[in-house]
Amino acid sequence: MKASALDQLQAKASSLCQRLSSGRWLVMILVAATFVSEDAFSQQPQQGADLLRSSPFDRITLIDNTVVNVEPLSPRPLPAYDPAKEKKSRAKASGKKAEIPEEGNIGLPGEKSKVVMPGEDADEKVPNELVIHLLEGEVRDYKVKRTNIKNIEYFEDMLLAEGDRYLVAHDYARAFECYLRVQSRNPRWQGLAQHVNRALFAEGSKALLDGEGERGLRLLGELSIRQPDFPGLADRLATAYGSRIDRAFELGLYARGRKILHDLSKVAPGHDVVKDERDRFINKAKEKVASAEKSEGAERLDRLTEALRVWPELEGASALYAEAFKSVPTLDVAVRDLPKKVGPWVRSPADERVSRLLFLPILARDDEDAIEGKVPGQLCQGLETADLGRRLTLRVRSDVPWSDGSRPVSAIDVARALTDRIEPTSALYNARWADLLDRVDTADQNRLEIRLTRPFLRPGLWLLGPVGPAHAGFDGRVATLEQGRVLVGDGAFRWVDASGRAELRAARDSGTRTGNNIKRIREVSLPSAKATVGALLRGEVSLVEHIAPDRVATLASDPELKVGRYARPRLHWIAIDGRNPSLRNRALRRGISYAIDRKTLLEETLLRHSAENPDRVSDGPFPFDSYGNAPDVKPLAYDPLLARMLVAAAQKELGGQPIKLTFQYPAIPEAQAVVPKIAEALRLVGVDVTPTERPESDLEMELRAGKPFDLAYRALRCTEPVMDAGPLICPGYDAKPDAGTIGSVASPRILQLLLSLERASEFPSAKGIVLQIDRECRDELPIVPLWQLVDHYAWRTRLKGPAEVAENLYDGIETWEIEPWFARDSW
Amino acid sequence: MVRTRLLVGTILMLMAAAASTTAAEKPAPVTPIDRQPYAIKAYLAIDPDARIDTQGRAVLVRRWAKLVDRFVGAPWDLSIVAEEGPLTTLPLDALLPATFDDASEGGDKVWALRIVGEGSGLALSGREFDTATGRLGPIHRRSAPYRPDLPRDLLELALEVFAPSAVVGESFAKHVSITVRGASLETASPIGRVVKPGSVFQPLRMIPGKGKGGKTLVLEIPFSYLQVETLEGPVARCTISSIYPNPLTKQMVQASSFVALGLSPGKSPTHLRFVSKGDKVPAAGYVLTARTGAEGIPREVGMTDRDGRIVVPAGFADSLVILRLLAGNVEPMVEFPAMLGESSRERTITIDPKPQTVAFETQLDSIRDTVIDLVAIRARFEARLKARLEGEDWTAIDAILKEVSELPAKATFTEQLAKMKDEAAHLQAKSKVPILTKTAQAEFSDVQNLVDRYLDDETFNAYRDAVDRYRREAAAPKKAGAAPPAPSKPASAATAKTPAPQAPASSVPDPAKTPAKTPPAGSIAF
Repeated sequence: MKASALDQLQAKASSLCQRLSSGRWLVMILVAATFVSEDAFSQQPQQGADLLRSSPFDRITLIDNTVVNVEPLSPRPLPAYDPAKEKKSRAKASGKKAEIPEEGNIGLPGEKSKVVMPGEDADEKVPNELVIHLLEGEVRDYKVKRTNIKNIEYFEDMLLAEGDRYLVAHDYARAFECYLRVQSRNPRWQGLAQHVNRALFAEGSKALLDGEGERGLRLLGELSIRQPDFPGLADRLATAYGSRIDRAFELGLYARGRKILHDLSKVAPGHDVVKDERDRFINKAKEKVASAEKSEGAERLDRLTEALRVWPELEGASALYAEAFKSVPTLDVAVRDLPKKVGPWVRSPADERVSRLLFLPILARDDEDAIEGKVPGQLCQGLETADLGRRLTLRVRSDVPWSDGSRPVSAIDVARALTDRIEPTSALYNARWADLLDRVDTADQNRLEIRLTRPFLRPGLWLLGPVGPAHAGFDGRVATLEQGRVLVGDGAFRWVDASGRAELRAARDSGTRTGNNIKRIREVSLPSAKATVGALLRGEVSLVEHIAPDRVATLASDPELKVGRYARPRLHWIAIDGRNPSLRNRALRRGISYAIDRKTLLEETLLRHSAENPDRVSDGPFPFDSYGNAPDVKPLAYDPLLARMLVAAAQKELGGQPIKLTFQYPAIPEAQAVVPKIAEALRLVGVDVTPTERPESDLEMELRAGKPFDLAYRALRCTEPVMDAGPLICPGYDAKPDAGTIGSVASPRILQLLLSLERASEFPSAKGIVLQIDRECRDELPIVPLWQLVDHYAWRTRLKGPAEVAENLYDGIETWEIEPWFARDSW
Repeated sequence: MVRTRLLVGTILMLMAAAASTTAAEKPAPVTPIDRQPYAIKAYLAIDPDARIDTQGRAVLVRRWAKLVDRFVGAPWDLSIVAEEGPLTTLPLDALLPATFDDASEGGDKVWALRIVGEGSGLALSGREFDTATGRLGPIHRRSAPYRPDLPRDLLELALEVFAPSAVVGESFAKHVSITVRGASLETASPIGRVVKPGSVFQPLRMIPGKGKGGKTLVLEIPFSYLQVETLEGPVARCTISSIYPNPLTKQMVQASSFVALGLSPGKSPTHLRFVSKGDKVPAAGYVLTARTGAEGIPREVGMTDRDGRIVVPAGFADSLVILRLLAGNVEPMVEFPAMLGESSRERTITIDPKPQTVAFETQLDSIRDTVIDLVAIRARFEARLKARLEGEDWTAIDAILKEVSELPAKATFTEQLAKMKDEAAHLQAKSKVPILTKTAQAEFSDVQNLVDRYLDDETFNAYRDAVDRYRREAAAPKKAGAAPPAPSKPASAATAKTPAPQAPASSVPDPAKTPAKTPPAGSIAF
């Protein structure tokens, strides 16, 4: 058909060419003819991509090799036709009589008669003729005898063949399209499943070769469900899974490796790779057990822990682990930041957390019981004041030994701690104490007299810090022959130098320890809040120092976890360095304050719910429910338009130069969440801010040492406003004089109030000054208050002892107990 | 005859005796002070590490003397003393006035000069002792990097060390005349002039001792200086800069006179300490500023530390400065003149911390901030009203006016300010302590002007009137039963009584135009 149409057209074209002399006419006509001929043939389906878009058709090859494309035949496929059989049945029917079935020949209405007439065969159902409908031509309907048909190529088969061609060309998408079309036409088409399986295998293998392991395994996994015995599948899967297991093993991700091994064992059970990998894990675990058996104490426990991390089901290992754990019950804690350069000082929140465990303070707290020596965990046996508070007589307990066994704690240690704080070169230097202390006299081994230059309203507040040994060096360490410089303390725990984590061991002579009391604490800092929660959920840590506010509810609902809260909320604010002349501009500070939408940031970014007391927006430097918070202070408003105007005015006053500031913030979840938004808000009002993330301890140490900055995000607790007002408002308030940090308070008025607060000798006047500071901070803005948040901590139920409300994380740790536990696989 | 001869002889003898007595009683002519040179005795000590031997020293001294003659001349009668003694061996900062007792004989000035090695060059230092007043001057230092220029450097040092003396004359108001010793003597060059405009003198009160051998008491008048404005021959007309209203007062029990001694800024840091009067509490956290002259631009020097101390670095200024200590960056606690570096000893100044004044000013700052914020908010409302007016959206205008009415009114601030002022005045009267200082009152006026000028509701009232008029016009046709006329917009500028509510050209305060004596801290200009 096609050929005759083309011939006709070509004939017409050539006669036209003969008429026309110009060649271009010929070209045009030929082109037109091509289009025409293509139009004629476009009705005819072609091979290639058109199969996916073309209408379905079948291709019949007649015995004279004529190939015709016809509309899809029915039924599909046609039943097989045997010419010899037909001949036989014809011959049979020619001499036959009508057969009447035994059950009778009367049929039901509409039912065919059961009488078999001569010439008919009840078994014969295959027609010997076929009605076909051509796709083109004037006459399209034909009857064709089956005997004249050489071959029928069904559309589905064509698609399958096309799909195979695409498969060879690695065009898996199109191959699957072809198979999908077949499936949509006839899901049971013969050969379809095999083709799909082949495609899955090919694509999966290719993906594995191309490094797309996940995808490859998914495809092969799908194939294994369809046809588990597909040739080569098991080997391919085993190889792929095996390489992933190897990688996880090399990286020490044993849990992950075991999971992959488990998945492999489901899809290729009994494969050699499964056995080999399993043996690998077990051997590794056994090695660690063997190594553990040569060790003792904490080292033994660590190695057994590692063995169980490799293969939790290792025979006998769990019993050994439980026994080892019992000798060194270990608490793994996830903290926000590890302490740097630990010593008998507090220079950062991490120091504050750890120093309580390592060193006893002079006073555990500033109350009557502690002053009378009735409180455990302190060095003071009694404190008397005289001379209107200018003279303090302190009696030191004599039964607290230093960890190096040299001697017990005595008056000289306390004297050194107190005098080191006035030494500018000492890490303990405190400017206020240097101004306050006159001298220290040690009357005898356990008694000393402290003379102050003026009466101070609560001298006990100065005696809450850690005390180190007088025989230690400037770094708080004592030189030893075997172990080099060792940190010597008198607290419930000893410091162990360990890289990458903080480790504390219980003091040997601690009398309160029984059973599973904590004998070792390992602190680890994880890179993000998400990683921390993940470690808690997986059981890698048993206690978490800080939980992000938006995760509290979720974790509290976990039956294996408990959530507690710190007794005092943590204040968040932006510290301002007045040593930058632009930040001394009042309009600029006000503009910065107006630019920050505190309520929205608190509720939408941090809490993820509406703020309820004690979580709330701050209006000053002190906690809402403290005596330092003046109740009549109006909240700080959010007005970006006004902020922009104020910043513009400030810029004009400062000479028209663009205002560019640095903004340092600690790597804590809250700051990480809000600082980018604050920076963006400030940019919108015309302050170009460059945020920089720093480890919390590093940042706090530098700020407290008086290092210059512009803006700094701080999050700290305020326990005593009269004492904490200065350091809260001015980070370097107690720094050495040559740091010039007095000038860093952006408001001279507030600075004068802080300095007058230092000289307050009785509480009512001090409180009055504190309230005045709170009121005036709203307008003077030496800091930009943000909000206060209650912090939470969480622990696994295998840890017994943490309270639901605590001042500090490790309060009462001497009585805590922990049960041995290690993570097992869930299958 | 003999009697006559005897009588004549006796008369002649008596006449001769009278003549000799007259001759003996007649005083020697006194050289006026302005023509008196200075007898200067210089004790020059050269340290061995300066590597100058005896001959070198002799050459140096000779050349130096030559330069003195060439550039100074008559006013100095310089003699270099060769003898060794405490003035050549003791460190300069260890010298006391008593050390110069022996050397004072025969000299008006005694100089102790030192030359030591410093790297590849030399370092010179020296100080002067004035024998008449017993005052020991500050230590002056110079470097002499090039040895051949040493005589010239020594001359420069001498010119710095030298402090002219003067007798204080009549004073009137803030001026006084002084006659400078040696000022009439012609100097060999302008460099050697004893006094010139801008020179600074320190006045001293001389109280003569009682009795014949009584020692004259020389008292320094602290924080008081005389700065030469003009010269009329040997007489210099000076401005008095003092912390006291009348430092040269003669209203004292003991008779006294005043002399003045020249001063030049030294190379030592100036140590100051401020304490509050009464309880001597250190004035910590106060800002110290310095300016040259009454109209000079103040520069911040620094902030007092916890002990109320501040050190002004050496070389901060090269003339008389006026130092001012500020509380809260606004209120001056004390203002006094100082010649920086004249002495390295710490000087303690008592101040009145004026806590109530500072608190009052802090409150004013807070009110000012509130007013400025309010003005900005009102400006926004005005812009919105203008837009709504153009669109004749009377409902929106009404809503905005309702928001405006919720803002604090002008009367609120006026009352608050009046109350504050009354309380401060009452407290001031009761405690007899100044609270409403000049600065506080200026700041108060500034804030009051802000309130008066920018919180005026005239514009909003005009909008209210327009809304009311619209409502009346809309309601009137309904009552009459006639078609309501088109609502008229607020009267245009042609209507004299009710001006159109136009947004003011500048509806935010411009501190430049705000009448205030002292630009208040924190004022902004949009």
